[in-house]
Amino acid sequence: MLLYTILPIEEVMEGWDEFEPQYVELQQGSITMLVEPLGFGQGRIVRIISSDASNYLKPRLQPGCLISLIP
Amino acid sequence: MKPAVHRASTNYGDEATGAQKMEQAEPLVNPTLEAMRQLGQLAPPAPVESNIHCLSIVGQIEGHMILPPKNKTTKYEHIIPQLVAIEQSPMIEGVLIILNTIGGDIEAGLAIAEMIKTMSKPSVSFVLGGGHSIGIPIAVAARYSFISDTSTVTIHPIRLTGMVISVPQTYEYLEKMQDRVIRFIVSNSNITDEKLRELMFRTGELVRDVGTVLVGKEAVDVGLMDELGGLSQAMGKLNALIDENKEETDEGG
Repeated sequence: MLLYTILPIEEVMEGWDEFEPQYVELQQGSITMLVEPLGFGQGRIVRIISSDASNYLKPRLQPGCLISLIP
Repeated sequence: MKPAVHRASTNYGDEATGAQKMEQAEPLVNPTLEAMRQLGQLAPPAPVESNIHCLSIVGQIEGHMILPPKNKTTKYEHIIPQLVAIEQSPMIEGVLIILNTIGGDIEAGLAIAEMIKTMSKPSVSFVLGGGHSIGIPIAVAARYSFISDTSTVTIHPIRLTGMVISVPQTYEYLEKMQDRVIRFIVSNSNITDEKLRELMFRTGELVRDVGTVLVGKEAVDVGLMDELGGLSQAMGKLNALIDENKEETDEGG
C-alpha cells in the first residue's frame, strides 16, 4: 500500500499501535454490517457489505449511523 | 493491524421481512437533538427530491488499511458501490463531487477516479479548500472540474518516508506508480506531461519538499482544472451537462 498525501506518514499513522477496533458482524436481511458496539444495545455502522448497490445510498445505512443491536 | 471481528447474527426470519423491518425501524434518537449535538445546528429543512447526487470526498482516502481514528477518512469500499448505485438509479441524473482531501491511498484514489470517469451520467467536480496529491486524479476524472478562488492543489512526487531509498527496484516501483498517476491526470485534463512533471519536481516552492502549490486560478492557468468558480457555476454546469445528456439519449432512442 502506498500513500500519496501531503501529510507526513508519522502524522497519518499516529496512534496506530493503540488502535484495536472491536467490530461485530451483524446480519440484517441481505445486508451484512460491521458495527462498532457503543453499549446500551447500540452500535455505530462502520461498513456495510451488500451485493445490492442501492443499499449503499440508503441514508440509514451510511457509515457512522447508529443502529440497534437488539433484534 | 486487523480489526477483531466477532460474529453476532440476529435472526430476522426470511430475507424479505428482515429488509422490511429495517426500512420501517424507528430512528433511535431524536433527529433534532442529534443534529444539534453533532452539527451544532437545528435539523436541516425537509429534503427536496433532487436529481443530483452530491458526493463529498474529504480527509484521507482510505484504502487497504483502516487508518487510526484521528484521521477523517473517505472509505473507497463505500464510495465505489455508491457510484454503481448512482449509475443504476433512475432518479439520479448527475453527480456533483465536492473535494476537500489531503490525499491518501493511491490505488483507492485511482479506483474512485476511474469509476467517476467511466460513468455514463454527467459529473462535475468542485475543489473546495484543497484537492491535494491523489485528490487531483479524482478532480480531473469528472467531466468538468471547478476550483474555488482560494482552494489549493499540491502536486508533489510519490515517495516513501525516510532519507534513503533502499534498492533501485524500490525507486523503479515508485516511478511506475507515479507514471500511472501522471498518465491519468494528463489524459483527463488539459495539462501536458512535461508541465505536470515540471510542477511535480520543482524546488523552492514547498518548505520541506519538492513540488508546487497551485492556488485557485493557477490550477486553471496550467490546464489542470477547467474553470474557476463556485457552487452556482458548478451546479449550472452540471445542469447543462444533464440537459445535453438527455438530448443525446433522446436522439439516440
